Amino acid sequence: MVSSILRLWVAMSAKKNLTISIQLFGAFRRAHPYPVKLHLANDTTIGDIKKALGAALQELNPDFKEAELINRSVLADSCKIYTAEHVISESISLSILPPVCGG
Amino acid sequence: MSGKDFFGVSNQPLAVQSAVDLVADEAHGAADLFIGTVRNHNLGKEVKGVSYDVFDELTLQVFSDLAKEARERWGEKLNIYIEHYKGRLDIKGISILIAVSSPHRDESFKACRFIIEEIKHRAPIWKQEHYLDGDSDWVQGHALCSHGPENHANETTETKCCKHQ
Repeated sequence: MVSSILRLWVAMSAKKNLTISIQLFGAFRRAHPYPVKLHLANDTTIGDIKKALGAALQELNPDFKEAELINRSVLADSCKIYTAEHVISESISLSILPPVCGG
Repeated sequence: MSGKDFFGVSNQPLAVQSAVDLVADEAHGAADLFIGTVRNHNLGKEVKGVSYDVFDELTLQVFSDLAKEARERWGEKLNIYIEHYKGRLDIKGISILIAVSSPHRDESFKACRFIIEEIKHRAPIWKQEHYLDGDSDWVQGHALCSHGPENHANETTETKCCKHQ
């Protein structure tokens, strides 16, 4: 837990060379209608990006208080879903995918 | 030789005949068709319509993966059609079409059931219900997983998805 918070702090306070654009789907659309851009330090993990996205959404929409939704969601590109430990080392476009219910 | 495929996400009304035609095959004695439709109630609330949100690219990748997995289990000859609607539908509107044909009926029944159950757990698709009282809400669903596929075909629709979270 402590190392996780420390890593997030380092990621958010270090030189921010990464631009992560995140498209919102499903229930996230009620938080904000457009993609969210995050500026983060190099070598940020997917888990840290999720936390930064949660903070950004709260800033954009103070009524959005769904931390549990972020926890139950995953980040993906058009080919695959990333694990929380995956490290992102270049600017990239991702999508936040809340729990699904197709069919 | 592998069977025929069609995978789609469409904002146009889904056509049952297109699915039936795609899987029709002189060498197949069975075709199984699943039609998902919008019902007028959910969890005690009266529903007047549903809006479907779809991450198209990844959804099509999941459809392709499911067809591959179905063929690994029930044979390469399966013809498979999977199409999901994107946008708003009224009650009785068709949200998904799945058709599977095979030389004998057992394979097409099982493969069709497998595909719809897996879609509910693995395809990045969401629905927002619109209620008669004017309210609307995104339906709670199954958390996606970053690891490989699980078999949900024998689970009930109430089963929670990701056992690894």
